[in-house]
Amino acid sequence: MEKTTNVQTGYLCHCLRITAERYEQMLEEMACPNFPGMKKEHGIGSLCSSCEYEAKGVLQEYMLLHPEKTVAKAKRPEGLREELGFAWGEIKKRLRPAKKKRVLDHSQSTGAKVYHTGIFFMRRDGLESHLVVSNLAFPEHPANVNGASASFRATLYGQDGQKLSTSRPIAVADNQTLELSPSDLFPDVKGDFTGGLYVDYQELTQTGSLRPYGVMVSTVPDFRARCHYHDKFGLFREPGFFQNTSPFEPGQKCWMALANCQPLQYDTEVHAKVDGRKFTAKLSIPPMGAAWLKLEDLFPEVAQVPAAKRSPSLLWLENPQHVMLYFYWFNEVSRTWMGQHH
Amino acid sequence: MAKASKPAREWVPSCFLVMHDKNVSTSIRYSPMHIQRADVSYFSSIKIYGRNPVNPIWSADSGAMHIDDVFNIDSAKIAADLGVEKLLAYGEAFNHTPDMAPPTPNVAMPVHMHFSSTDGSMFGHLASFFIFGAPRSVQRGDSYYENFPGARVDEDHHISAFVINPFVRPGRFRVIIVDAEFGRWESPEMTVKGKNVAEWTSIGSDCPRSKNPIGIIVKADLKTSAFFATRAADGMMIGLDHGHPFLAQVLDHQ
Repeated sequence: MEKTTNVQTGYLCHCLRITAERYEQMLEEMACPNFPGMKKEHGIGSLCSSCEYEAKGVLQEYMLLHPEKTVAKAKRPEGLREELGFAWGEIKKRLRPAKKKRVLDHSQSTGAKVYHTGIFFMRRDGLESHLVVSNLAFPEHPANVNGASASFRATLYGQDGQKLSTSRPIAVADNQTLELSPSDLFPDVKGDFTGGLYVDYQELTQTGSLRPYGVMVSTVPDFRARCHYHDKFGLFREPGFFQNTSPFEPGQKCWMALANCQPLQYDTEVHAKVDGRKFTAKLSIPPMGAAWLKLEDLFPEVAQVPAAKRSPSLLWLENPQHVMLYFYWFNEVSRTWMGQHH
Repeated sequence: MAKASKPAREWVPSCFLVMHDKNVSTSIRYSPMHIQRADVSYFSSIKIYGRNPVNPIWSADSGAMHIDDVFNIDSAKIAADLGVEKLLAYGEAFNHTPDMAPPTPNVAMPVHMHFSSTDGSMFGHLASFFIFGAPRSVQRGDSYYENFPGARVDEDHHISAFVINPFVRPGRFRVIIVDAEFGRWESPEMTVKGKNVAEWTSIGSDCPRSKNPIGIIVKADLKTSAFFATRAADGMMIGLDHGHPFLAQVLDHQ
């Protein structure tokens, strides 16, 4: 007979008849909730294990909301020296959660935070970036926590990193979605440009739905595009390499769109491994600069590899300094575009 | 005195959609390039699920991989092995290395799905979705919500929402459309089976058409992930991207 699992029931853990509500209660009751501990103490996930992912997901969310429960309470030591050390440790621990809590409270109630974001932005080759933002109230809140509207200014930097323009203050009302073209944002900027767009919200209480997206749209009838791509602003170093596993697909041309969101030069080697052969190119993007590059132009030698052997291949950027990087593909048959961040 | 320590991080799987028919194909690809460690071995395990959310119908393992290898699976191979012509299936990728714990709170190494088609109906590139392990503070209430800004539903554009359920329990979801002018529209409640994918499309729906760009929300009782396709009036796909949950904090990537 086939074993029943939580597929057939509403229980988070069918085997032990644990509801989602009961599971959250268990998390509340545990000093330092963790999955092995839950398994040992309550048996959850120990029989058919079909609830494991959901249980771990709920646990992880719970821990994000309760950082003070991350570290287990240490055993009380014996001896004066140990006693003093323990007491000092406990004071530090108490101070730490208090500091964290203040940060959380700040974002949840005072609404005094500036939110810096950025996207690649261009107008050239029959394509044009639009900025889209939705200011949607969280559906279970009585009102939008960001108030009647959220406001931002957008600043455009060009290919060489020069500031091209700053928009007027723009308000996006509660439940409103805005789609803004370069002309809407920067009527003073004429002609083609390749760059980065920086959207700075003032006094947000929560990010909510306000994380901005770009939409790459076509401005000529020769092809069609309405490709969403979202904010990738950041000033950190990546733990890995920017990479693309589909750079030379049959019947598709791939472009790399890069905006350097840091006030540092971005110098990198770009590598492509195609049919076991490695190709290398160099790329330099000035601080706040940008590039729109067809990969075939960056690696003309790849044309020597027979078309049937160019996929799958791998492209990666050696420098882990964070930049806002997207790839766009043009389908030569359907004459449509698509894009994605990496 | 023994110091209390944080629990060690562990690699976790992520989930994706595989589509295949006579026109559409999906390439599923994993490269360990997400992590800057050339001195360890990486492994990828791919599972595809059918009607039974507990047992996969197809699976493949990469064997040991070097940092610049690509583990590639084409949907044509999966369909041929299963003896079917069409696939709209949930997949899971467990990419990991036994040699090191995840160095950051992002504990899933994703695969990328590259969707292609001969008729233009499917064209997109997406990373697989976190099942759990994403270190961000999500606003939730009785339900989970994902949003997607700037969609268009008018005479030139259709929108589809794909909802992906990584858990074995079936979930329920609705699509909500929000516009400052016409207000709010809700779809009927739909079901997404365990370890499966469901699609809602504006074609044939009584959702309002608008000259304005609209906000879309997917409301679900489980922590599902959603992604959104934009198609032109003739059915050509001209955009594919994922949504975001409502974020409880003000993001700070400085």
